[in-house]
Order: sequence, then structure tokens, then C-alpha cells
Amino acid sequence: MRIHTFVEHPDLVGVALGTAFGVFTRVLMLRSDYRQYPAYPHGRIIHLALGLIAGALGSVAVPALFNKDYTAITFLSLAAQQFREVRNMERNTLTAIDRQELVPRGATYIEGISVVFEGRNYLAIFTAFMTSLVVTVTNGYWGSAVGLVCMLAVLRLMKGKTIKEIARVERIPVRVDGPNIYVGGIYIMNVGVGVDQQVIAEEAMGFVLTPKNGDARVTLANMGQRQAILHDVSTRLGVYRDDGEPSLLPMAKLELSTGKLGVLILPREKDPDKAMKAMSDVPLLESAVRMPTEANRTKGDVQHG
Amino acid sequence: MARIVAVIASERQQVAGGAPIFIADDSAELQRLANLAEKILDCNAHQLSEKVYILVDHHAVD
Repeated sequence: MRIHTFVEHPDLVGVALGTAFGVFTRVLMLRSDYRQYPAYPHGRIIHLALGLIAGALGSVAVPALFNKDYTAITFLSLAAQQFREVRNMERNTLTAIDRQELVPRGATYIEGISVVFEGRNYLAIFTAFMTSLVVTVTNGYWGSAVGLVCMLAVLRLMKGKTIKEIARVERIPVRVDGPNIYVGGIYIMNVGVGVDQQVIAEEAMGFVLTPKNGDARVTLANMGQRQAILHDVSTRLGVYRDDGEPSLLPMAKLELSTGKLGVLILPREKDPDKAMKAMSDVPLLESAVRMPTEANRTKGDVQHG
Repeated sequence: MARIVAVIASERQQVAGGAPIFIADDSAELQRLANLAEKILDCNAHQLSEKVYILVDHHAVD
């Protein structure tokens, strides 16, 4: 009976394996990491369902092509449309949530996360397509092998860069000089109320990030990247802050002459090693990365697009 | 642009202008007023000098 089904539907193995690998790729990429997102059960279900659709679309495309059903490929454009919608959905949700955060993520970070969510679906399609293609051309064993290779490649490719790759991270004590707060000689802010000055002197932790090259200097100067640093570190270490306490605000300021970034954070967890790790592992935002050295290398007129 | 919401001073001669001005008798009351006003207005209290504090709304948009 079972064999009979497979003989009648020769594409079934390819489609089934392709879909399975596509979904599994999406599951692997859907880790709830320290960014705490998506940690909600329903958010996960949405992404798993979309991953299933992505996998199915990718794997079905192959038999459609083999049967000379070329118009079926246009369905992939429908999928692209669908996944752009995913990016919108993520952006809207995160922007709505951001207003209630003690330390907001900032628009740049949100944009970065949304792009990742869209991109991951395309990677699921890609894995499903490759698996299905190889199954159709050879057999299920080779197909599974290619699926595994694709999955490993995807996992490797999706590892983004972190702060420690572009900057040297140092812990520097915070200096409270009357109302003025400094981190390693970098002026951070003016806090007038004595109680808050005392809280900052006791609770605050200072970091100085020294950029390793010119490109890194421009990236660190990006406001979105700075907000992402503050948000990520505050998420991992907790934050000593409340609504209506405007002075207790984690903040990052540049030393203009050198391009160093002074970061003041108010952590709950004051373990220096954990703090150092949290700061070093902050992701570099795609839209914050600037490469002026590369841009200047282009000869002649600059061509956009 | 940030906006000055209020001025708190213990030296009447040093302040004038458009924002509400509160005069404190001594430095202890100056601190108390600055702290209270910061919590009530949700604005940062910045110390310009020993005797003058300003409350600044950094969220204000023009």
C-alpha cells in the first residue's frame, strides 16, 4: 500500500524531504537567545507555520520545473511577497513593544531583527529547494545529505559579527565629580540630584570601547548601534532604572577626538566577567556597519544601486 | 531640542526669564525641590552651579 503510493506519486519523496529539511532549518534558526525574542509561544507558532510554507514552496518548485510547469515558479514571487509581510509584521510588533521598554531597542536594531526574520525564510526555501532537487535527480539518501550540508552552511552563514571584532572593550570605573559623570575621561552627563549621583556612584559600571580602525570608528559612532549596545547589555545584566527616574539612564557618549565610546550602564548583575561578555557579544547591526575605506576605494563616479 | 521646564535657585539675583522659577531658602531645600520636581515632571534636574538647577525635558520635540 505504502509503496504503491510512492510509485503513483514519484515526486512525493522529494517534496516531503525538502519540506522537512526546510522546516527543520527554520526551527534551528528560531532559537530564543539572550535577545529574548521570540520567546512567546504564539510568536513561535507564527514563525514555524511560515517556515512550513517556505519549505513546502521551495520543495514543490522542483517537480513543477521537471514537469515543465514553468508558471508554477511564479508562486515563488508570491512567497517573496508573503515574507516581506513578515518583515513588516516584526517591525510593527517590535516598534509597538519598544515604547514600553525601560531601555528601548531603537529603530536600527528593530530594522535589523526584521530583516533577519525575512532572510531566514528565504534560507528555509533554499534548503528545501536544494534537497528536493537532489532527491529528484538522484535519490533520498543523497537528498538528505545535501539537506544536512545546506543546514550547516546556513547556520554558519547566519552568524553575525559582534562588537569585540571591531573594538577593544575595557572596564573603566565611573567617576562622579559633583553633578558631572565621567567614564574614563569621557563626559557622559550632568545629574543634579544628590540621591541619583549616589546611586550612579554605587551601581553604575563603565566601559570604554576603542575602535580598532577607521571603519570601526564610524560604526561605533552610529546612534542605532549605540542604542543596541545599551539595550542588549541592559537585557543581559538587568537594569537599575524605573519610569519617572530620568536621571538613571544608561548612556553612551563619544570622545570626539579619538572616536572612543564611553558607555555608562546601570546593571542589576554586577559580575565583571558577565558584564564584559555581555558587552563584547553585542551584535553589530547590518545597517550601522559603515566602510568608508571601501567606499573611497571605488574609482571614478560613485555608482549607487 | 530639549526644553527648560523650570528653574530652581537659592539665589534670586541669578535667575530670570520665561520658565517657572522656584526659590529655595538653603541648599538642603534646593536639593529637596530639585528631587521632587524631577520625579513629578519626569524631567532631568541639571545642576548649573551650587545655587541654580534647571529641569530639562529631553523628550520635547519642537
